[in-house]
Parts: sequence; structure tokens; C-alpha cells
Amino acid sequence: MRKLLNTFCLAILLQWPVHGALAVEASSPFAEIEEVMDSLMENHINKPTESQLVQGALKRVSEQIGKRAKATVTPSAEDDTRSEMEYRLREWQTRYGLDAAGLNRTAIEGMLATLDDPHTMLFTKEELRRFQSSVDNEYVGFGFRLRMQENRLMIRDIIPNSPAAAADLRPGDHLLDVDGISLTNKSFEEAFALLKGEEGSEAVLTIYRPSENRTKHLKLRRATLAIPEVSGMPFDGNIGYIRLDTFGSDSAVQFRNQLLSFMQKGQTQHGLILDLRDNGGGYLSAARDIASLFMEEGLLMYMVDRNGVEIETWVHNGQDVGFPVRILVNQGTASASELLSGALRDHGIAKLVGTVTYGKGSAQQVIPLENGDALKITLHEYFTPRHTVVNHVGLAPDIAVKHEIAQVLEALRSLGVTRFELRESGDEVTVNGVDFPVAEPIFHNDAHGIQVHRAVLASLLQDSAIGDTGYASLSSIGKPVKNLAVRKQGPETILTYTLQ
Amino acid sequence: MRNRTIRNISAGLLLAVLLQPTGAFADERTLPYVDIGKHWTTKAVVRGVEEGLFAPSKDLRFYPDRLMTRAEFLVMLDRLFLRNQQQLQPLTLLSEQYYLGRDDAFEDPYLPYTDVDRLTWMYQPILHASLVLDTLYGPRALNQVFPGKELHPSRPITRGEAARLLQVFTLAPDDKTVWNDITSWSWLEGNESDPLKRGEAAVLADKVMSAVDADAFLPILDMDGMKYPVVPEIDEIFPLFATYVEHPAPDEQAYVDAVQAIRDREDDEQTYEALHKLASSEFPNKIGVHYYLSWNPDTPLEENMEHAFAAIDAYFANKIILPDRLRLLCANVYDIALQMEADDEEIYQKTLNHLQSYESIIRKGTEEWDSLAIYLAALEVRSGQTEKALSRYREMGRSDEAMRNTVHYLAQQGKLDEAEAYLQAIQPRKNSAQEVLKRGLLRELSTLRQQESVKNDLAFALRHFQQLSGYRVDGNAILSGYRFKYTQTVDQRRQTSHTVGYYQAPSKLVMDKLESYADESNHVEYVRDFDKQTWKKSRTDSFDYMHEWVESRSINERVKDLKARYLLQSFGSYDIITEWIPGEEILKKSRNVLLDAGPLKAVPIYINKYYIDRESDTLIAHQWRYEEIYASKKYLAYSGTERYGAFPEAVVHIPAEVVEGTVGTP
Repeated sequence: MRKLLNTFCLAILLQWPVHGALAVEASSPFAEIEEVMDSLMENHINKPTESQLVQGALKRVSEQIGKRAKATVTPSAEDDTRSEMEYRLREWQTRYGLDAAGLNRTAIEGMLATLDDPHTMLFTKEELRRFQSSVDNEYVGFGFRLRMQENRLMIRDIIPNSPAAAADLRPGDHLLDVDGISLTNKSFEEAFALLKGEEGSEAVLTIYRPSENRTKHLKLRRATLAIPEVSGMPFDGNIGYIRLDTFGSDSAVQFRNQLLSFMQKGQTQHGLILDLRDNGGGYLSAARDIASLFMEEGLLMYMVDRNGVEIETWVHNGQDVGFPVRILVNQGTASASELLSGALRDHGIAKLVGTVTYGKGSAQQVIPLENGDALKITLHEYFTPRHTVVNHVGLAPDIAVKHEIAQVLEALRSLGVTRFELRESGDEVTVNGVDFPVAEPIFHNDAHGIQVHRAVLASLLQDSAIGDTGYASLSSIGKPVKNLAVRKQGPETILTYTLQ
Repeated sequence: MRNRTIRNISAGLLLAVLLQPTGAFADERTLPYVDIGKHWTTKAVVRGVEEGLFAPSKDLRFYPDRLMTRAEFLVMLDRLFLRNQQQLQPLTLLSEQYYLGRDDAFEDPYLPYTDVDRLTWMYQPILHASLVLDTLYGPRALNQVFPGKELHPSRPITRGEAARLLQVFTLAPDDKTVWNDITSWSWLEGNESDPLKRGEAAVLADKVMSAVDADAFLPILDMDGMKYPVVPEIDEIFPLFATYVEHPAPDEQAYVDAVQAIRDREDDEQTYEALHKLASSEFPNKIGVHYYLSWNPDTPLEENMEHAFAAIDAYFANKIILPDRLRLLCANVYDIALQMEADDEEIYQKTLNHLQSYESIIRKGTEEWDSLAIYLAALEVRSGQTEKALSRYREMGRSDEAMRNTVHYLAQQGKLDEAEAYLQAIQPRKNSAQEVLKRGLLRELSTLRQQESVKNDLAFALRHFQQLSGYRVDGNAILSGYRFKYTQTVDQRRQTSHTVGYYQAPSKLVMDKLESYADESNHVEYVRDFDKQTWKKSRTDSFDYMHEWVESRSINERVKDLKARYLLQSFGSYDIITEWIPGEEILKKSRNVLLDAGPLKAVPIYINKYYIDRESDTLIAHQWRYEEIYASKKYLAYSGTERYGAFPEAVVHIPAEVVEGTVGTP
């Protein structure tokens, strides 16, 4: 046996100088292009060819020259090797006075564009930092969340240990203007654009506090905020609810703590709803650790690289859950979220409720480049334990339902819940004790009384004929509805329904 | 030019500094916990905290009388393994940077229990401890102590279980006899089935650390040829050699400044210029001036050596007997000689001749003579006069170094009885480090007496294995940065084998497939080229690297020609045999072997471990770690693990398309 490895290695060792030579050339003006090109040719899942990458680079650079220098250069179809590319780039650089850094970046972007893979990308140091922060749920800001109520922007809640928490700012305060710019009749997006800024920068906020009937000016400095990756609440009737925003480096521990706290209070007695909607994924290790909270042992996934080598990733030393699990998914459920959903479903631990997921069945690795930039590169496609393909198709839900609140209702119903109470106030809906933000209200008040979103009614009454867009009054749906009542109480609209 | 990393003088010192996190508690007379002040285990607990075995607790209590749980003990064991990893390396094979896992593993390791979960405080340390135990004692070693699917981590650990887990530190041949050792050395008392208290665990850990620090763990073994001849460790390498008052004279100040600069590694040309001036002046501290001139990195080593000897001359001119000082001055000469060896093969003999000239000045048997003699003996060993060195070591006072060198070189000559008699004649103080060292030396001597029988056991198991009609191999290996994972089916009747697997090149982020067929009777093999979709044929009857040649030797030949040494340890149902082959011996033999990799230059490490199931006498696993350096500057590091299973129905026919599809036969 030993013999085999030796011959094998001797053959490979002979190729080493090739890599060595490249490393030495780091001082060449196109070092970064070279480095990215090597990495792509050796590792990228689509096995890009040299000519493909060269052509892509030259095409993008020539387009840039067209835009910037208003000159027309046409890349030749015969330029398909590395040295021809460098010759051409050097020529164009001199003739059109292109700066080296920009040229490198443009050429690399051109190469990446040929891959038909939006997940392989180049990061500058700053972009990499931001990418990692977003995976760990870290953002720069003041530390409050807003809600829109009766066309006014209101502070919904304040993140602990944030600049907002340190300032005299309270939930319920109205936000009137930012640095003297009025927010009246501004949309969420417009307000957000005015509020965001660099870490350490300041802004003066003008607020109105209804309880004190006065206006205040507050100066706040933006800071990096670590927002909890996991949030949880129990539904009435001992069903746990955990929402995971991302698979960051601290997610598994936060998840475990939340789950333990539920279990100690018996709040998962009838099940757990795991909300992975709009969770774009994160670290594989976090997904594996979280999976270990659901199963003692089992296959998490298969990963296949460009050479057809298939590696199994297993969960070991976890624990089995003794209650049913529902996972809420939508088209924003991607990557590690799909991985976890697929694995828990294949092992019979969870059912998926919602819509078809995003379909990002590939795994990337971030590798540092010599000059401090980094390349995020797709290395593997993954499959669920039952070899289900995820990439480009997504996972189909076990219980298909589109509306965001109806998804929660369906999940609860499938766990045996028979009593539902929906309360709406502002842009938030409370379902059996747990709050959900909603894009559009589920109740509509007009001269005809209170109307209910059709998707919600369809779900409650299990009647798809009701439809899923627009509102309907209870009397208009054309059949007797027992045990369903809607009323208004102060600022809240409340619906109760008991299944028979 | 003198190299400032003076290995032989300062290695021990540096290590000691690195391994002592803080001495804060002892100094300030504040204890790390409030409940150990009047407890009999105080000293051991404080040491445990200083050595990083115990973490500070929130309520500032250690609870020395509470029972220690299995989890707590395993966490402590992990920290003991980590603290002593360098000394344990001949048995764990782990290189330092890979303590956290075997570098040849593809999958993340895990524990064979269902009740220890990943996201708990105890998980990582228990997993590490279990990995070290697996290498020491074979697959699922922890299961041999705690059988079943559950570890019950919060159950109290018994004294017997604790003793078995510490077997490696006692070098006991069998886990059934560890208890006797541990109680007879008063590491523990009571019954094997009694639970262990936390304070007692601290005492146990203290004894383990003291034994390792006294070099009682495999003291005779010199795995990499770097340990022997042993010379004393020197604590203070930059003394002033004199006392200076608060307001020194200008020349005194110049001297003190120069020493300070050298001590702080801020010495430059001016430093040595100042010392030169002092040397030619009336400045009386000639020992110091010449000693520090010998440190000048910008002068040739020959000149450094002259100053080193001038310092010794000055020492004897002073006529004041200070054995510690003479020891440092001789260590300095020895250190420079070691650095000169590369350019001057005769340097040891020359230095020896010079240093010997002082012998007549001192009276034999004094402490001062010992200071000189230990370096004379070391130089004698290095110039090939082991006999002379041995008689010198035996003439010296009973220092630890004299003891270790005497036993080591007697053992090397096969004089085990003589070594034992020598040791038995020494009566160290009770509970002294020397007593612990003596015990370690005697224990290792007893393992050396078993060489013949262990060798036969291993040869038998390997023969037994070769007689199987077929077997299967599951392997992980890392060779020069390439990581491999493979399974191999071996058909012994047809002398054929088929291997499939994958590997990862160090420069790549993805893996490649690997597949091959071997035809042993015709000495050919076929390796698949997955890119070209072809099979490449090559001959297997030459040696690329020296380890292949070593592997082709029988166990008897390894003992006879390569001075292989074996250690047998039994643990649960396994016999574990470790094989060490001195690099020097492999190097000697390599001069007559034609290697494709070219001439061999050095073999820093060559260790094999064989795991044998005692009941069936079958080889179940093998681990190895080899390092070879070739004249072409190629450095080959090869380590791995293979597991074996009998596969009597194995049939490997080499498919016709493999043989026909062959291209590129050389």
C-alpha cells in the first residue's frame, strides 16, 4: 500500500514548481488576476478553462475602455492564453492609461462573469468584513427598529447595549426628522437611507414623545451592533417558536440556550416551529451544530466537488428531540437554511411549511488573496441525505402555503392546534401569543365593517376557494362560519377561531 | 559567527518559563480558592491552578472533598496530556501543532457515547483526551474503561478508573497492574472501587507532573538522537560574575551596561567594543569580560571559543571555588563546539583536549570536578569514546545527569544487569525527584529486558496477518502535505490489490479521486489518471524513499540491523506495540540502498505503532510517523493510520482494460 501513495505523490511533486513559480511572481502587475485565475481553474466547481477566463477578462476590460476612454477595442478571439491576456492588458494599460488596481478588478469581474455562478465573488478587505458581519448579524446603526403606524414612523423596539439604548429614546417615540430632513410622508426605504451611515458617524434625530407631548433633539453616534441571531417565544399551548436570522458563529449556542429554556418550562411539549424564512444561510459548522440539537446521529448532507469526489458530512454526539418540528420556509430560505431543512426532513424530524425555497445548493469558501482581497469561491454542490438536489430547484414544502401569516397558521394546525387568536396592531400581528411583522395588514376596516385577508380565512377554514388576495368580510364568503369572530378593541383588531 | 539560539544551554530554561503560567498565588500568599486553606491538598491544588489544570470558579471554591466526576477527570486528563505533550510524543505520535486532531483525518472525530453532546463545556476536552487515548491504546480506548453507549459524565470516577486512564504516565506494561504501581508509589490510597475526591485528583495530577518533570517518563529513550548525552540545565545564563554596588565606577558601569545589552538582545558593535577595551585594561572581572566576548555574533566561532576558554583561565586564576560558575563556563565551551561541528569534524576532540587540561588543577570527586567532568564526558561521547565517558559518569557524584547518562549508555551497550546494579546502589532521598527518576529508569530498564519477547509477539501477529487469504484496509495518511483517504482490498492468493479513495493536494481546496491496482507477483501497479481516463503502469520493485526499504525488512532484521526498539503496553483487550528506530541507524543503512529520491541526509523521526487484538492475535490497526530529509533538500513527512479487517473472500482480478488501457510505460 505504501508504495502506491509514493508513486502517486512523486508524480504530483513533479508539478510543484509550477505553483512555486506563480507565488514568486507576486510582484507582477497582474498578480491578483493570476492568483484568482489559478484558484478558479483548480477549484471552481464548473471547471472553467483558461480560454474561457481569458476571454471573459478581456471582454470586460474592453467594455470598460469603451465607457471610460470612449475608445473601441475589440478583444481578439485568438487571445485565449494567460500570456496573451497579459500582453493585451499591458498594451491597453499603456495606451489608455488604466490604473493597475482597477484593471485587476475589472478583469477578475470579467472572469467571474463567465462562471454562471453568482456566488463566486471578489471581496475587498472592507467588503469581506461587511460580509462576515452580516453572517454574524452585525450591523452598523443606532440600535432601534421602526414601525409605520398611521403614516408615522415610530420606534418599535430598542436593541440592548446600543447607542439608542444609551440615549433617551423609548419605544413609542415618533421619529420626525434626521439631521433636519423631515421624514413626513417618507417610506421605510427612504427613512432607512437617511438613517444609515459609517460606524462612528453622528446624526441628530428629532423625536416626538406623545406621553410627554414634547419634541426632543437627540445626537446619536452609529456603532457596530451584534443583533441576536436567535429569537424565541412560546405559542400559547406549549409550542415553541424559534426564529433564526442567520447561521453565524454564535447561532448554535444561542439556539441551544433558547431550546433548553423552552424544554425546561415544557414549552415544546406539543412541538416546535422553527422559522427559517428569509434566512440566507451562513456557516456550515453552525448548521451542523444546530442539527445536532435535533438528532443524536445522522447524515447531514453529501458534498460533491468538481472531480466527483463525494464526501459525507455527519452529525455525531447530538440529541434526539422528542417532539414534532415544523420549519417555516420561503423563497428567501437559502443555503445553510435549506441544508438544515432538507436534512431534518429526510430524517423524519421536521415538516416544511411555506413555499419552495431559494435553491442555493452550493457551498463556498472564502480564501485570502496576497494583496488582502479575498475570493469567495464555489467548491461544492450539496445534496440532502436522500440525495435530493437543491441547487437551482429549491426544496418543495410538505405543506404549501404562500401567505406569511397563513404559513404560521398551517404549521400550528399541523401540530394539532385547534384554537387560534390573531391580534393586529400597526404592522404587527400576534398569532397565539407570538408577534410577527407583516408587510400588509390582515384586517381591513371600512364602511362595511371589518374585513379579513382572504389567505388567512382560506387557511383557517381550509377552503382554497376563498382565494389568497384581497379582503373579504365574514358574511361575504358564502358559507356559515361558526366559532369565528372578529372584533375591534382599542387600537387592536382581534380574530378568534376554534376548530370543531 | 555565533548563533544566539543556544539550544543546549537554554532549552530547558525556556521550556520551564513557557510551562509556568503564573506563580502569582504562591507569591502573594493568596489562594485561588477560599476552601483549600487548611486542606491537606492545598499545595497540589495551587499547583494545578498554576499549571492550568483547574479553572478559577465563580464561587471561589474548589470543593476538595467532593467526588470528582468522570467528566471533570477527563477534562483534567486532557490538560495533563496537553501540558506534557512533548514528553508523551514518542507514544502519542502527535506533532505539537496537530494536538487538536490528527492531521491525516478527513472527518471530524467524535465520541463513542450518546450522552455527551457537542454543545456542552465538557465536549471538546473529552474529545481531545479520547483522541490521545485512541492513539495510545487503540480504537475506542475510552470504551475499554467506560464500556457501553453512555459515558455517564456526571457519575463519580473511581480510583481504579482514574489509575487506568493515567497508565501512560506510569509506563505500566498492563492496565491491570497500574493500580499496584500507583498505590505503591503512594500516588493514591484506598480501594480501586472507591470514588475519587477532587482534592485527591489534584494530588494525583501533581504526582504525574512531578514524575514527568523529573524525566521519569521514558528517560532512556532518545527518539530523535537529540537528548543524549544529557548536560545540566542552567538557570542563569547571563550573570555578572561579580557584585557591583549602587554607584559603580565608570568601567564597572560600562561592563554592567554591556551585560544588560546582551541579556536584552540589544547588543551591537559598541557593546563588544566596550568589552574589548575592558579586556585590555586593568578591569578585574576577566571571567565576565571574556565570557561575554564569546557571545559576539560578528566574530568567527573560533574567536568565540578562544574567549570562552579565556574565561575559564580567568576562573582558575581567581582561585575561588564556585562550581556553578565553572559549570556555566564549560557549558559555554560545549555550546560553541556544537555550533562548530558542521564545519569542523574534529572539533569535539580538539575541545576535549583543551578542556581536559584543567582536570589536573581540580581534585576528583569534588563538586567542581563534577562541573567540568559532565562536559568532558559529553565531548567524549561526541568524539566516539563512549567507554571513557561511561567510566567518567560513574566516577562522578550522583547527580541526575550522571545517573541518566550512565544508564542510557550502559543500556545502549546491552549491559542491562550492570545498569540495574548501578541504579540499585544509589539510594536517593525519600520523595525526592531523584527517587522518581530512579524509578523511571528502572521501569524503562525492565521494558528493555522484554525486547526479545515483544519482538516475537509482533513478528507473530504480523505473520498471522500475512497468512490471511484476504483483508481490507481503511486508511488515512498525510504525505508531504497531501492528505489521503483510501480503502484497499487485498487478495493474498493472487497477490493483487485494489485501492480506491481520494486525496487533497496542499495547494487545492477540492479533492481528487484515486484508484489503483497492484500486481505484487509481477511488481507492477496501475494507477488511474482520471483526467485522461487512462491507466498508468509502473514498476514497484525499486524504492523511492527509505521508509519503504525499512518496511520491507522483517522485524528480526529491524532489530538486528537497525537497532529497533519495542515497547509493549496492554490495555483492555488490546496489546499495543510501539516501535522506534534510531534515525542514525536508518541513515547508515541507506548508504547501500538505491533510492529514487536520492541520497538520504537525516531521519528525525521513525515510529510505528501496532494495535493487536489479544484474543484473536490479529493486527487491527497501525499508525506511523516518519520524517526523512534528502540531500536534494526534499523533506518528507509521512504519517497515517490504517485499520484492518479480515476479508477471506477477497477476490481482486485486474480488469483487462486496466492492463490494456495502460499508457506511458517508462
